[in-house]
Amino acid sequence: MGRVLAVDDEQDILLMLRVALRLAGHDFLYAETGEEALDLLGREAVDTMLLDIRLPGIDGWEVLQRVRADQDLQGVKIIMMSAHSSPSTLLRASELGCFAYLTKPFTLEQLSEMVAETFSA
Amino acid sequence: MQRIGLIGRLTIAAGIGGLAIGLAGMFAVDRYATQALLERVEELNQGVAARLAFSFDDRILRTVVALKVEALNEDVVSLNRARATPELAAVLRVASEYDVLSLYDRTGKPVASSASRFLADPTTVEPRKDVFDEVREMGFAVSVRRGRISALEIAAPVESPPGTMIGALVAQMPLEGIGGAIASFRLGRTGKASLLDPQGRTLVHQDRGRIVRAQRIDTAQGIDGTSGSSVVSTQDGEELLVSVAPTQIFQGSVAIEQTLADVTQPLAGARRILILIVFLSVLATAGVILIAGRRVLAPIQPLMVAVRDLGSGDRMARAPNPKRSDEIGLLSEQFNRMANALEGFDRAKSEFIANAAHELRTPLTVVSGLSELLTRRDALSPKDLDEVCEGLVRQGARARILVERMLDLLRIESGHVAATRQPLNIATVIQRALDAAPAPDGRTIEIEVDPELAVVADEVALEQVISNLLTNAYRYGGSVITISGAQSGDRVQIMIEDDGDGVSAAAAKHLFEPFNRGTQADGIGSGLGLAIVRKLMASMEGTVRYEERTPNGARFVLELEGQRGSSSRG
Repeated sequence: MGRVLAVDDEQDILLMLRVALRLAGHDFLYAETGEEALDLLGREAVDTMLLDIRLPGIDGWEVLQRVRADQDLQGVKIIMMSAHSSPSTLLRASELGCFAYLTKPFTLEQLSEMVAETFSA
Repeated sequence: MQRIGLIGRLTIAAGIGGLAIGLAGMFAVDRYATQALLERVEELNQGVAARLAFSFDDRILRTVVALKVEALNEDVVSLNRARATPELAAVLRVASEYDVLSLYDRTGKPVASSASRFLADPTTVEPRKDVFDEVREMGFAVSVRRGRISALEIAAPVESPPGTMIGALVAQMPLEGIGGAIASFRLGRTGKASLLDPQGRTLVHQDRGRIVRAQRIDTAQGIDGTSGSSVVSTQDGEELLVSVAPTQIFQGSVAIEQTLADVTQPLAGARRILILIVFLSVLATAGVILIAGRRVLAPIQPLMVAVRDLGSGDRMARAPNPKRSDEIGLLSEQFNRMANALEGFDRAKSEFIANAAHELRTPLTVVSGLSELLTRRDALSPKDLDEVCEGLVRQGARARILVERMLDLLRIESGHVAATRQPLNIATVIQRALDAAPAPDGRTIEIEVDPELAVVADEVALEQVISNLLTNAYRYGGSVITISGAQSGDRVQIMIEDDGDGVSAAAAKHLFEPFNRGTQADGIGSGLGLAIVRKLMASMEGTVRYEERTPNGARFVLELEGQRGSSSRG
C-alpha cells in the first residue's frame, strides 16, 4: 500500500477517489490545481499521482513535464486521467513519461488495478 | 455567364416565333381568309357605289309620262309627218333633264327627240325597230356599243287609248362610270360582274374585260335584293361566292360572282408557305438545341460525378473547374460552396456530439464510481456514506441539466419553438429572470432601467436569456452585478455586467460557441448557456455581444427592437 496524490478540480472526482483509494488501504492526498500539486510534492513523499489533464492555471501536461524534470521526483508514478482518448494524446502521455492513462469514464476496478500496478512495478 | 443563356433564349425564341407564325397563319387561313376576301369584295362594291354617285330620279320621268301621255296621244298619230306640237315640245323640254329623250312610233322610227333641253331633229336619232316589242312596260335597259355601256335607258310605253300601245318614250343617260366599274373587276377565269335592274334581272355583264348584254334576261343566282356576300351552290354543284352592292343610280345593283375555288386558290399557296415556315423553324430549333445541348452537357459531366459522389457520402467530392464564367461555372461554384457548407455543418455536428460526450464523461465517471462504492456501504464511515450520496445527487443533476441544455439548444436551432414578438416591459422581465435565478449570498444586483423602457421580444426567451447571463455572472463574475438599459433610435440595449475578471481575448472569440466553459468552472455549468443565449437572441432578431468592462469585469450587451413610444432615457 502507498501514498496516492490525486490532482483534479472536480470535487466529486476527488470524493470518489478518496473513498475508493482509502477503502483499498492507500494513503490519500489531493490537490485542486497544478500549483498546489507541485507544492505538495515538494513537501510530502508520494508514490503515485493521479493527474487530470484539464486544470485551472497550469494544466496536467505542464505538471507532468515538471515532475519528470525534477530529479527528486523520478520515483513518482504518474497516471493521467482525462476524457480525451485520442491516439495522439495517449502517445504524448507515453512520451512524456507517464505510467498509465485512465480514460473517463472508468470503473473503480480499473482504477484499483492500475494503482496496484504502480506499486508492483 | 450569358453565353449559354443567350443561345438557349435565342433557340427558344426562334422556335416559339416560328411555330407561332406558322400556327397563327394556318389558323388565319382556315378561319378568316375567306371572310377577309369577302370583306375586300364588299369594300370594292362600296367603291363602285361611290363611283356611281350621280343621281337619276326616274319618278320625274314617270310623272311626265303619266300626266302628259293624254295630251300626246292626239298628236302621236301625226308625229310621223309633222313637227312636234308645242305641248309635245314642252313635255320633251321637261324630260330633257335626262340628256336624251326620244319618242318612237310603233315601227320603231323616232318621231321626236330632245337633247340637253332642246328639241332635236328626230332624224338624227337612230330608229329602233324592236323598241315597241321591248318596251311593254316601264323598265330599264342598257345599250352597249363596242364592249362598253353607252347608256342606260328608261323606256315607257305610250298608250292611246289606255291599253293600246302607239309608241314608246325612251330616256337615255350616259353610263360610262358604271360600265367602267364593272369592266374593271379582276375576276379570274370564272368570275362574272353584272349590272342588275331593281328586279334583280341581269342587264349586262363583264366578259374578259368587255361588257356584253345578257343573252337572256335572267335573275342572277343567289341575288335576293339585299347587299352583302354569300356563298351559293349552283346546279352543277359548284360553289359560288356572290357579292352584291347597290348602285345609287336606278335602284339597281352590281353583282360579282366567283367560284369559291378561285377565291381560295391563292390562300392554299399561302398555307403551303406557312407549313414550310413551321417545318423550318422546328428544324432550326432542333439543330440549335442539339448544338447548345452538346456545349452544355460536356462540362456538366464532371459536375454530375461530383454530385453523385457527394450524394453517396464522399464529403470531399467537389466540382472541378469552377473558374468558368458561365452558368456551369456558377453552378459548380455554388455546388462547391454547398459541399463546403455541408462539410462545415457535418464537422460542427460531430464536434457537438464529441463535446457533449466529453462533458458527460465526468458526471458519468463519478456516478458510476460512487454508486459502485455504495455497494460496499458497510465498509464506509457514516460521513463518507453521506458525502457519496450527496455527490451522486449532484452529478446526477449535472448530467440531467447538461442533457436538458443540449435539447434546448437543438430545439432552438431547429426552430420548432417560434419566438413571438410582443411589447415587453424590460423591468418586469428582469424581475422574472431574477426570480428564476436569484442572486446567491454575497452578490449584489443593481438595476438601472427606466421603468417605461420596453422592447419587442418573446417573453419566455428574453427571460431565459437574462437568467442565463445572470447565472454566468454569479459563476464567473465579482460581487456586484449591474443591469442597465438604453434606447437609441428604434433599438434598445440591455447591459448585464459584473466586476469580476472578465474573459481573456482568446476565450472571448469562442465565448458563444457550445461547450466553451470558463477556466474557473465549478463543474456545474453545462458550457451551453451562452450558446443558448445567442440562439435565443437570433430567434428574436436581436443580437448579443461581449465587451470588456473597464477597469475590470465582463459586459454582455443585448440589442433588440424597441417598443415605439417608450422612453429614450437610459
